[in-house]
Amino acid sequence: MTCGETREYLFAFLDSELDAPLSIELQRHIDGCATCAQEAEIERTVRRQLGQALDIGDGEAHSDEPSLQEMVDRVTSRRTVRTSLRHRVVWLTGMAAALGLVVVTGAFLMDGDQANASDRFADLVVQDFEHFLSEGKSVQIASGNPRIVSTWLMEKTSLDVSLSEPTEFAWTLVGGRKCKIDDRPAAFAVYEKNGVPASLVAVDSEAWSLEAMNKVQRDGVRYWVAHRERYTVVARRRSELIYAAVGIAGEEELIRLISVNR
Amino acid sequence: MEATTAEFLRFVQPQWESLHRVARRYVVGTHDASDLVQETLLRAWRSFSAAQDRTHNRAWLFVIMRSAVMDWQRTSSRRITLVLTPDSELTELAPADLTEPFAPAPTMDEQRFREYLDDRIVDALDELEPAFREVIVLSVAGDLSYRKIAEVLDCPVGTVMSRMARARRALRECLSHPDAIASAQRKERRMDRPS
Repeated sequence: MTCGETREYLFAFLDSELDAPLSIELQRHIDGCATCAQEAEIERTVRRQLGQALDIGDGEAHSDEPSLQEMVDRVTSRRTVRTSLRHRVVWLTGMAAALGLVVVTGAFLMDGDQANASDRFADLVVQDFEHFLSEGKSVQIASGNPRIVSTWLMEKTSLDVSLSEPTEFAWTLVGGRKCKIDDRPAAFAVYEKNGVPASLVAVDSEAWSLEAMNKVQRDGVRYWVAHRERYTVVARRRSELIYAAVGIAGEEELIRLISVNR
Repeated sequence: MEATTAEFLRFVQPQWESLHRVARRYVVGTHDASDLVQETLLRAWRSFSAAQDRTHNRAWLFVIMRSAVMDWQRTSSRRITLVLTPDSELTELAPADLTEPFAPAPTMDEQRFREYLDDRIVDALDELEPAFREVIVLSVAGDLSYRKIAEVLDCPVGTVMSRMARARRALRECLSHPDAIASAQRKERRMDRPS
């Protein structure tokens, strides 16, 4: 790939919109061209700063803006209010009651048994994987380089994700995407083996319990396993993260995937 | 089966933050942005509640928002900051050779470059042609893929890719403008001066 072609595709590459072969070719060029590498780094910085600037907004206070629940209640009951004219429909009594119910229910659930928490973890990662499949298996960064994908995932999720270099019998890394599991940041690395996809999800280990999942031991390492219809979830704790391999491949294959990433 | 409020809320929730971020770039202030989000959800609910098949994707809400903005342009144009032209009416923006070198970046170290961007980047974005600004907003603030942006703008993905490349080049040119850099350097000298 020439420098001109790299410039032509650079933004699509940085936005993870290039297909894998072109991505790999462009990355190879950047690895060997200091000028293009510098341009890529500048544009990454520009995009990152732009994202932060647009996330912050214009700095005005938003405390009087309706919440999601309030707004949905308004539109579904046709009681829309034009906030810009500062009209107020006071819902404090109803919302306070609803909020109180939510707090009590939440406290009850949080005090519940660990089995529910780890069953829920397995359910949620499977749900996320199914969503990924239904969305056409699109990744946000397409790369077979674990260092690149790890760096990108760390930047996007603030999770200290570390993917390992491939081995002869390992799954092939396709790319990554950021997502949320139960509204918490999650890093999602996509793998493939003989056309069969699997994901390796990384989440903060403090947020989840695995205790009710089945425990298995391989080569002195403990894994937690759950089965959901045609999907299998294999999880392990590493440092401050839980890594969970999810897919339709069997338990042993997913253990192989997760054990490579040590 | 009739849609429930809970179903609608679950559908909207993942897009809640990005809807607000994008709305803030279409209209004047946060209150107008909130109204725009409300209008979007109201229109969405009407369709959502009536539909048999509720497999809408996230681009759908932004399509609705964009349609609301176009309606507001006709009736309350003072509330709009990003004036939209239907894609079918958009004459081809100045063609650019996308293989040409980029405008040179300001010569400064990384820390100062980030500070410079903090100061300058939103103004630079606002200086772009609306069509350029919009693809960047939908991508960065809306967190939409090119395919989803193409659905929102009702144009081919290739058009989005080309327009995005031109938009980011134009943004780079704004950031590289000598006046902007000179202003930043003057500010640096004032900050470095001992008090």
